[in-house]
Amino acid sequence: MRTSSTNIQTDTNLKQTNMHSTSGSGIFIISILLVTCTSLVAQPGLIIYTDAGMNNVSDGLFIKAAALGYYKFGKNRVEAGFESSLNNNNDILLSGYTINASRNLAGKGLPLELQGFCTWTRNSEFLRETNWGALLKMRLNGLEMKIGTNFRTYAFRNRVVDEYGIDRDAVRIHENFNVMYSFGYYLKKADDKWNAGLSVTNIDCFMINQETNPSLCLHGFCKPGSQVCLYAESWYKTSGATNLAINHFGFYFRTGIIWNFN
Amino acid sequence: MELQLKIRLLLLTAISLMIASCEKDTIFPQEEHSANQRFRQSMDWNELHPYQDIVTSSDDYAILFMGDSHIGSTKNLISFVNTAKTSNAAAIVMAGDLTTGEKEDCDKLETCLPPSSSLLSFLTVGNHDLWPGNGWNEFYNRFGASVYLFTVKTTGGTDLFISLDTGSGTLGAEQLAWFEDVLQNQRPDYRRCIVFTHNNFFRFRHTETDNPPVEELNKLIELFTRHHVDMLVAGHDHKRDAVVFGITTYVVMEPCKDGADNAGYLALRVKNGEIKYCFENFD
Repeated sequence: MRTSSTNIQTDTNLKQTNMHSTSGSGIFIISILLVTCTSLVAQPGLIIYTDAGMNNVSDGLFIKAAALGYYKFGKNRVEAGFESSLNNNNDILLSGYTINASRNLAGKGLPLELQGFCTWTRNSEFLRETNWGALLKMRLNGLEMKIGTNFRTYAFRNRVVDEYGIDRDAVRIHENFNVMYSFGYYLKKADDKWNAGLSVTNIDCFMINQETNPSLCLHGFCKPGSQVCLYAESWYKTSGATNLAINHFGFYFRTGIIWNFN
Repeated sequence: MELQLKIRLLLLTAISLMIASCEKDTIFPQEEHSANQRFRQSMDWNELHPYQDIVTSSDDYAILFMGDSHIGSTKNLISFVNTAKTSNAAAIVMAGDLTTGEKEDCDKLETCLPPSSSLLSFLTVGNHDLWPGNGWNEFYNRFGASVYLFTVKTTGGTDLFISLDTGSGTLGAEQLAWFEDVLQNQRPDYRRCIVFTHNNFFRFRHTETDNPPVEELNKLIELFTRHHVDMLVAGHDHKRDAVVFGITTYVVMEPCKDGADNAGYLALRVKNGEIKYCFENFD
């Protein structure tokens, strides 16, 4: 036998891995810069939705609600919003914030959109999670594809750091880059009065799972008026998909409204 | 007409999804081996086979950990067991992906294990042990529970070791509730607490191996911190890593698999309540 490390007690020779949040924020800033090329007609709007579901850690039914405001000007769009836990097994009320900026890069017959985003979430009373990244979206006929990358940081909340005497070196952890994806198919080529589709993804508004934990999402919407769009989604979450031993993790249903003020 | 066909297909998919969401115990072909089912069988086993209590004569003991032997061949595994015997280890711990789930491989593993009268072995499953479909049965019939605990009593205190089953990428709701109950009601009686399982928690590098879903990870880290879990020992990623996050050291072992360039194991020593560990490699 050869011993390649001497005895280690705690945090000597241990590492906080992969400081990727700097590059993640760079992508986000570039996206913001793209958006600064302001244009002519502004279109403000609001998205409101509610989730209800269960999963392996929710200890019963969870209910969440979220509101996101957006502002379109020319080829650009900025969006910000928050998520609130209305019924869960911890004391968290505001469970997420997000801000993103995107620009339509549509070329000849290839509708592309680039988005930079930052999301803060609190799924635990002890932790907060930050995700930075960029996402490229493409919609061609009924096919929709999103692909991008994010950089995740877990950090203990200040109260917990004090209460448990956590060393400063052990307060946060940065993960390596994660691949974000969504592959969807819609019944109708264009979003007319209604449409419906199915997608496989690891992305949601306030939650980005590891690329190895995909969800199935069935979604549909209808437009009763020119300014309003009603939508509903059914999400099914799995674990172990790349483990050869897939297992149920959870599900939730979402209903929402998109209101374009113009 | 084409649209109607699409609508029907979508409706079929929607109904399938609904069934998958609500009737989770029947939808997957491997459901008889789901995390919840394995947990229930493990609890049945534990009722008939009480948890092991190791007693040492001093406040200084060693336990050797390994994972990912992926039998096949057993050269490194035999070397690991021999090292444990010669170094007078209190026990060996084997953290999943020990076989490929085939009967012949489980037979080989059983043959390699030392008799419990000379050295205690504590095993849990990994994803490869569950594959193909009857892998869990092969494991369970020979080695028993994948979720359990054992203790080591020394002259200075008693330490708690907890085995978790993450072979399906999640603990499942029932195992998670059991784990939380153990931490709440039993953890305060012990000096140190070390958890071992197959799946590593964090993505220190970009890899196709999976980790607990983010929601579960948040919950587990909270539990580890709230109840002062000292260390998590895992495998799965086949690449060593160790990081202190909060008050817990998260260790990922190298594989014990024959032929792997970095094949190795982990030696853990607890002396006067102080935990030390080192990665060892096979020549």
